[in-house]
Amino acid sequence: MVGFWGDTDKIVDLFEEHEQTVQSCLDKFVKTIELYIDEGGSDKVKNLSKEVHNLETEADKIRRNIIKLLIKEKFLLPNTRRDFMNLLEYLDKVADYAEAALDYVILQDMDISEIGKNYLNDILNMTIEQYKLLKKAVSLLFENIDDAYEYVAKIEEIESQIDDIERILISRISKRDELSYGLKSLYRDFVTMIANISDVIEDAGDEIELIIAMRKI
Amino acid sequence: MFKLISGFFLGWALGSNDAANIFGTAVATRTIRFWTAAILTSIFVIVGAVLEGSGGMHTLGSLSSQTVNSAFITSLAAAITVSLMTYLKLPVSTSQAVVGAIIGSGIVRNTVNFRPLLKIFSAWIFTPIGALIIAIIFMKIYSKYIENYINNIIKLDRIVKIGLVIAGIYGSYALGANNVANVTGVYVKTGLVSPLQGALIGGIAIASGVLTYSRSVMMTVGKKITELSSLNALIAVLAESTTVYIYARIGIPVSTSQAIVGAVIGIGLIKGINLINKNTLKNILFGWLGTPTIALIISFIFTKFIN
Repeated sequence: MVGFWGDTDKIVDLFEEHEQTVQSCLDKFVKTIELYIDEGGSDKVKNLSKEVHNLETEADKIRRNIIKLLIKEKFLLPNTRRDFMNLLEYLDKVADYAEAALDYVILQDMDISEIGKNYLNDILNMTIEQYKLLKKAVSLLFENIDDAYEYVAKIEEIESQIDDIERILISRISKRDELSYGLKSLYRDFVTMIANISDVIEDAGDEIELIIAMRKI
Repeated sequence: MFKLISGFFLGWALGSNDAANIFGTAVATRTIRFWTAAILTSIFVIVGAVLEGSGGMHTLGSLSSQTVNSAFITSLAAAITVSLMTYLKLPVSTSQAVVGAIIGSGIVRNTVNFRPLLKIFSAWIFTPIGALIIAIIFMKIYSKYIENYINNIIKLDRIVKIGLVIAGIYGSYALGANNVANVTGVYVKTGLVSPLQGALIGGIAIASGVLTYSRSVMMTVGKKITELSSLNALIAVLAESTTVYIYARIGIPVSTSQAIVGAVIGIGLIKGINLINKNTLKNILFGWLGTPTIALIISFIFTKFIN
């Protein structure tokens, strides 16, 4: 609705578009990593990797459009604009971190199947699940803010589970004597990088919690 | 009419200081532009003064008889007190300065009627307490009956935005109705101007302060209030305006600064934050005792000198 209050629906639509693009980026990232574990740096993996880059760039573009709209429009209080910008930054980082983790393995041509396929798949699938909860929590800011708390709590739970897997994996890598120190270090960094995606999703959840708390009596 | 100049000066000082308690939040959070706030304040201060400003004039008038000279000295002493305190960055209350100045001049001329003082002092003490209680009531009403219906951020922002403007207009009206007596009440008592003329001149004087010198105070005070959040700041301004308006109806000029402090403390209590510290209490006590005492001394000296 464009009027005295500005284009209120557009901000909600753009947020949804951004969330969906990040979701696609994350899905594609997981698919690429899974394929990379099986095939290594094949052409199919490279093509998928390109799609991840494109989706990340697309998410950036939408983010910039949201920021422009937040600055231009008059319907939000300055505090709310700042809160939305912070939240947007966290959401955008999800795509950034996925892209960075993918680049890390592909550019170094690492054999990550050595790390532990099942554990890696668990982290990736849980991250996707966690992001879906975040998407729902964000949409609830525009529908029913009280319900968003429930989703934020679930996001935190999953982050904690991913942390546990991360610790197990790092410990396993460290104990493997057949691996060189350099390789151990590369593997550890990769595990940390994919676990960081879950951390940033949790940060976005915390931001949502803060946004709600500041608007309650 | 030249002798009205000190009243005008006092009104200007009042406007430049007190507009901050009303629109400070909205301006500091850039919810509305300074000039929109200043123009709205000016208009509604004059409307409030003209429509409901006579009650306070009667109360202040009952403290002492006035001549044109004593009215001039009283207003000048109060204006100097307010300016001095502002310069020294001490808490300022025009209402309390005016009462001190009336008594100071009245003591020299042996015309003070101490009887209305009890009513005035009680009003001063109950201003922050009343605002505190009203803020708590508003918070309870909001959380029980309204909060559940506003669970969308964009809707909430709209309501807070409209609310801050409405509360600002209401506060400006209450400020004019309550505080105009400080500005021209003593002149009305002399018969130099009629109550309506006094209200109009007083309202214009306050508006001149708002339009020319209130921006920096608005930003400073507004930022302090908004540390709470826009919604809580809105409730604070509404509680302050309601308190000041109640006293306008009773006919006793009170301090908007003390009303907003009381409201903010009330909100803090509900949120479980103790905002009552030594400094706050010291500032309120200084407003009750220090401000009228300084104004009394200045007015006493001036009247003695002129006599």
